[in-house]
Amino acid sequence: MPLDDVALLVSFAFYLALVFLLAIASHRLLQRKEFLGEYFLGSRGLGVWAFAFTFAATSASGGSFMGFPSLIYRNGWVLALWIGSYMVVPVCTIGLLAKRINELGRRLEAITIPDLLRERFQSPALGVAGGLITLLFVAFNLVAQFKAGGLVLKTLLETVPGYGQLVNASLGWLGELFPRHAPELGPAYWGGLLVFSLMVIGYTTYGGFRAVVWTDVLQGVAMGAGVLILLPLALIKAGGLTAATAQVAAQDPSLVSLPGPGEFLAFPVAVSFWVMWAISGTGQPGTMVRLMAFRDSRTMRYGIFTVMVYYSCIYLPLVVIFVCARAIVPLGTVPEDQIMPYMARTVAPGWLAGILIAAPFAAVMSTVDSFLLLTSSAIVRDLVQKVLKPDVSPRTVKALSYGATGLIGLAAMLVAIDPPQFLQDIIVFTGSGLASCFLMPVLLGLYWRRATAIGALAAMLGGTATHLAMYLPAWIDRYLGEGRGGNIVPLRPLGLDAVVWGLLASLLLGVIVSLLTHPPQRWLIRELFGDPHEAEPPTGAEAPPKR
Amino acid sequence: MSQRDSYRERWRRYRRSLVEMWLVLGLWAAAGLYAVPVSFWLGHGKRPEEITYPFGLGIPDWAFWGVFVPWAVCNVITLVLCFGVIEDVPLSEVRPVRPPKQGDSHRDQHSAS
Repeated sequence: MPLDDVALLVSFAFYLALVFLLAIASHRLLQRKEFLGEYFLGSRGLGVWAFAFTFAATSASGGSFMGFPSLIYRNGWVLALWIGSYMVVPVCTIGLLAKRINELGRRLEAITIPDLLRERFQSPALGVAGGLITLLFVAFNLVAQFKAGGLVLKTLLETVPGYGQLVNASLGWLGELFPRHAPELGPAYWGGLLVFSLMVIGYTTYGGFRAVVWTDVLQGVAMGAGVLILLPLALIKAGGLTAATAQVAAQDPSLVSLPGPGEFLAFPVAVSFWVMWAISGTGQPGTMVRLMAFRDSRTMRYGIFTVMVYYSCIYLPLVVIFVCARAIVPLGTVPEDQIMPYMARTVAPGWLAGILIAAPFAAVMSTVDSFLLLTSSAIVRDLVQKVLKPDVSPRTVKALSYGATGLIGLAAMLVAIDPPQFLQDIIVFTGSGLASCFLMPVLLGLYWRRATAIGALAAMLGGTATHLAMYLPAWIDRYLGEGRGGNIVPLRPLGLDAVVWGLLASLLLGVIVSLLTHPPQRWLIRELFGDPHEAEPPTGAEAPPKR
Repeated sequence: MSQRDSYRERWRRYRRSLVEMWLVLGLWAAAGLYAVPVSFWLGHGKRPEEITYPFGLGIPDWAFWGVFVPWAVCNVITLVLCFGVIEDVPLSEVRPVRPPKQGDSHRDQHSAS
């Protein structure tokens, strides 16, 4: 086995050992705190670094370190505009909602986003609908992320002598069960998937939210360091950015102009992406729930600043690195979604390549772990504790939380044995679906006193239905029609993406239906929004009319 | 109830949050209204020989003026928002909502606003 491969494996193993040490420390802390608030929300005590890195790492999924580099490698400079709205993503995704959602989360003692909506609007139906829609979309996304994790580990483990024989002997039987699997799958992928799943399910189930946050910090550092180390190495190898851009332009002139090869980024699509990254990113329950977890508003302000610096150091350098990659590695040399690990191995020594390959792996892990907790909190808090069995004992809640997290992970792993083909399509579908469902009800609930429960429900269901309606023809075509096996491309009226229409429908329905229904109860509005004419509440105001 | 969590103070904080929300949305819209049209104006359908590379950095002009420069400007504005505009809130003093007791009639009325 070459020395570089040994160094790569050792540095990667060291990284994983750190992840597990953090999970163990987190589990010890969990024993000393109120279980549910700590397991799903870290007791609302996150400081600046933990908050900023868990926010950034959760947002940066496998797509950022596998899909995005492969898109730059294929389409060139046009990806600078495609990702351009990240210049305002930190201030939008945190600044739009954070202060109000954190304050109302504390006031309403909410742990999840459906929980927040249920209490804000005093509507159990909103909690149930929110929990079920979360489960639907996140389950899709989990499968895609597990597949990405399995593929990254496959790349790494294939260098280990004897790995091929071992997985062929132990997992070869899966090939008979799934004879029509895609060519990139097979025993080497299944082995990678198994190792990945056991690791992520293990530390997430054992350590809960705080383990996820702490490992996010580590993973965020790995991602940032990976990009910043790769940047000078790629520039040196390409002979500088000017030489790289000239070389790329000589290969294909459309790589340096808009709208890119094959009309990659037409004007309406560029507008859609401006909405998608900044606004749709704001509406992800996985990121919104982190806004309920920071300690104080100073943490939030410094968090925006830290995430801003972090994204600036990640996304624009990635564009530069993979424009250089296009100049260094001729198209077709390597499968496009493998360009990140390939570049790491091409330009860096083995020990460094281990850290660089850990970056996409860390990105996938940090997304999977937060999604696992999101689904288990939807089951335990939003469905069991609030609807099915409100008097459930703390001991049962604990067992249910561990059980749900572990079982959801195992289910996602089983589906990922023979997963859908197009990773990025599924990630976009679920991300825009969640935003269409949650953003407007949350935004209206936080900022508009006149918003009503029925209005919020209309916004949630209307946004989700509009989004699904845009995708329905593409799904039918993908699985039943002539486009069988092809990409999933939703309807785009006026060239605008499904998420734009989902958000617009959600906003309009939320406002119109709220105005047509009874205003919300005055005491609740006064508690949540205050009152300019009244300094103190009447004394003795308590004894809740419990539902 | 502490003075810092009185109804009047909550109202003032809510109004302030609303202003900050509009400022953030305004920044998002202004950045988009600049970056997308300027990038297309400078870079749409250009041949390689028509594209310039400002300051010899190797970045096409449309990406430099349409993405890199506004990115830097947005970072500066974000900095100003974080440390000069967004106001702190005493979140540790926030108390959970306690709904009214039965019969506290004026507090059960519907809000007119």
